[in-house]
Amino acid sequence: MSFGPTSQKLLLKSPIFARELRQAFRTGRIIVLLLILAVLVGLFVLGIASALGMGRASIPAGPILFQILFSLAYFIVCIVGPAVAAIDVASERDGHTWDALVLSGLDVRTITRGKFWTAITAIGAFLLMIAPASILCFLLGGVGIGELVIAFLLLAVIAAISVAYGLSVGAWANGVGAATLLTLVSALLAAPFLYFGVGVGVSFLAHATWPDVPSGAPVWLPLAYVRASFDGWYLVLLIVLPVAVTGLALWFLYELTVLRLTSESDDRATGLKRWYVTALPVVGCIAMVPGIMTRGSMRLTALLGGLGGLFTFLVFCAFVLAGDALAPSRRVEFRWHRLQAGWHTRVLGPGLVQTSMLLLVTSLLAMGLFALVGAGILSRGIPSGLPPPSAIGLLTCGEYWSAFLVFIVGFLVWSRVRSDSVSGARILALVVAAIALAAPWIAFLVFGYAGSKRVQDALLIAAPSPLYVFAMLSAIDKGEPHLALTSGIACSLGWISMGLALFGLGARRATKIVAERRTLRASLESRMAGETTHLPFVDPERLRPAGG
Amino acid sequence: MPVSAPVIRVQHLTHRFGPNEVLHDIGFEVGRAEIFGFIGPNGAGKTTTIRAMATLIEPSSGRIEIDGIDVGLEPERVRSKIGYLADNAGIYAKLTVDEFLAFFAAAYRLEVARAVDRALELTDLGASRNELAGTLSKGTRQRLQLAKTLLHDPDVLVLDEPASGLDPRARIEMRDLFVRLRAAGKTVFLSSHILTELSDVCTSVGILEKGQLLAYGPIAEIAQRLGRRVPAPESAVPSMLAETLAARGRRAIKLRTLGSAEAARQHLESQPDVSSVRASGDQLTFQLAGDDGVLAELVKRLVQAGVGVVGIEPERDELEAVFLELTKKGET
Repeated sequence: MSFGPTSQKLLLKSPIFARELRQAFRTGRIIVLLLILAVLVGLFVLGIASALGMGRASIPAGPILFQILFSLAYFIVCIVGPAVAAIDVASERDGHTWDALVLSGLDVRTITRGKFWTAITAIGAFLLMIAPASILCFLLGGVGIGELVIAFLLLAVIAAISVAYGLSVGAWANGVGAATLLTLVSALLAAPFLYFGVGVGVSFLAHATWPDVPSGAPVWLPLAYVRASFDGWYLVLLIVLPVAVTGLALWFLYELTVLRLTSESDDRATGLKRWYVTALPVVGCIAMVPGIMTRGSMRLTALLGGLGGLFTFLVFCAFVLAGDALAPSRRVEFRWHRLQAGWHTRVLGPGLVQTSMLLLVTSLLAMGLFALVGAGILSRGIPSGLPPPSAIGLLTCGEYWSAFLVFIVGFLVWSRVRSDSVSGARILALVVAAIALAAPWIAFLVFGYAGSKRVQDALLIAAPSPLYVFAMLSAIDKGEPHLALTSGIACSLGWISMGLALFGLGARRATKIVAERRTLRASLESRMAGETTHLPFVDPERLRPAGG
Repeated sequence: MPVSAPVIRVQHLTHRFGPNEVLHDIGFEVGRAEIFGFIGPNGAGKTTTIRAMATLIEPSSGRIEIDGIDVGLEPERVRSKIGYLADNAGIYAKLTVDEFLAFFAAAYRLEVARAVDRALELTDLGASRNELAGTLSKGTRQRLQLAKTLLHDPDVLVLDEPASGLDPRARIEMRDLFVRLRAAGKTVFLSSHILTELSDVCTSVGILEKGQLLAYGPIAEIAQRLGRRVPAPESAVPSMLAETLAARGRRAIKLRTLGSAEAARQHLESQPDVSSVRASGDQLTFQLAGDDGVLAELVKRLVQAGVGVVGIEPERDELEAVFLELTKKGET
């Protein structure tokens, strides 16, 4: 049986999706698995409902059932979603069909999108299957239809991120076995963390912002959408922020999947760098939100949290972008030449040194701007004169962390150029960063504290650690900033010097390697240009008498 | 031998997997409408070369051109020109033959129904169009893969072990198909372990061992260089080596006698131009150093010695001999 007229249209529009759907219906494996899970969830919900006396119990059964049902669904989506997507991609390699797909003219982005829609359709089918069971929450009272609908939408968003994550793992894994194991293990570790962190943990903040939202309840966001009063913060926190975070996460995972599925000669940099350039201002703004929302003494903590978040994001980006090629490949240069690519295309294209330079400049700008705006917020309402200690503290933090970021970027460039593999360079940089973070504190604990009568003086031993900023903040707060600030700034200058030196060494070596490769290539090209082939050819070595 | 511009041109191809160099500076050309056989033992680098030609791996250095297009620079354009069949190509087992081909036709942005019908007709798969791909026999499955390879009417077919695992009938059918494709102007580049199969169908061959190209060109011409008293052109082979070649010039001959070949064997072993005589029943094979005149003289002497010569012919599979000759030298 061939594709019917409707399927034909889908086939022409999205061949991968049409084919996968046809296969899924014929195999039925994933549908049966999801159906079993849906039935189990339904039975469980029914059991809970009957245990609570179908609404006759003294405790409100609807909200409890709501929390249980959507918590269960959350775990299933988080654990099954990535595995389904990862297997879908990895099975093309295991089944030896990947080459045929690539050669058929489908580009990797189209394949990725097709796989995404296939996996999301499967998870969507599961959500549809459990929808009838969710009606019970409404029937038992305490939960509105709007909250149910939004809860399902929220699950769909979680499913999209899970599937996108699964695709990136599947694109990286060697086979179905590895892909399944990796996704299951990582999902089993991450799902409870996010459930208790973003679910239970943030619900207290949500309750503080909107008292109608219950505190301590993991599934709070759908309730917030319905129960929070519509104002500017509603718009920022419940619409702009979730859309921005979801969009950036999906985009990043998509680019990561595409990168992992393309070859080394392809342009693997532009997609990720476009994402970075877009994400940086968005993340900067998001990081600023807690500082703007908070009042009083908590404002500095909120701004420090935001600055720390921005710093962590930038370190993450430094590690991700360190995987860039040393220089654009012949293929990429050929395309640029043919398209008469402008400077912006080239800046966003492959090339480790220019990528790191872009990262360095933009990240220092972002950190500096954040610290300055934050200091401005903290200084608001203060009579003209010296800025308040909190503003000085925030600027100090910004300065120290920016300095450490320069070191991280410089070290990554250097180690990437020296190392045989990208992973090796990343691991080395991670180890060095961890040592820089922890070793001074260990030294302080082992030697400093015991040998000194004043803890503040002994803390100087920990000055090389980026976490020393908290000691500096404490000293500023106590009105004794001189020693701590001097040592902190001296160490930060040390980090900057080391970072710039490593960056310079790495860049010099990268330039040398690229120049050598280009010289070799040019020499080979000139040899090839003047060559004619002799036919027939027999290796002269083979014509010599044996042993001769 | 490519008369016009070669359709496939490989120059100084070198490839490394980590520290291991699997291809070392290989180069060859394949002309339009040729059937080029790529031969070599396992691990010689055949599949790596083929995958590089098919745009699936980027070689460490060197250049490959398909129809004048650099594979490294414009893989997308090359993909529209070639049809590649992998050694262990997979199928979507839960799709029917029709659906399988329709999917790839849609992926190639072709007119689906027409492309599928054409491919089915070319590979004689019409009767199986509604069968699930997973239920097909090995031979039919291989034909389905070939149909998929032919969907977009490529100018160049790159086939890695296309006949492996096929029964004799399927092999003959596939060989006939290659001949038909060649007649239609397609260039076929195929690798195989089965040398007799290649010698029957290939217009030229390339012999690869341990990542090095030992020889390439029409089989007869390679054999001539290796085994006949024809001096090689000065430009291609140094004169000293040509002399060595001529001094060792010999070819394999198969002889059938009336009754036991034992008497013939004894007689041949005493002849100065003859070596490696092997008798089995009424047949014997031997190596002869000399041209057709020497052979005619030898037959005359055999008949005079009372041996009933029923038939005499050059050993049929010259390619096998060439292959063994070249690879044997590699071992020494």
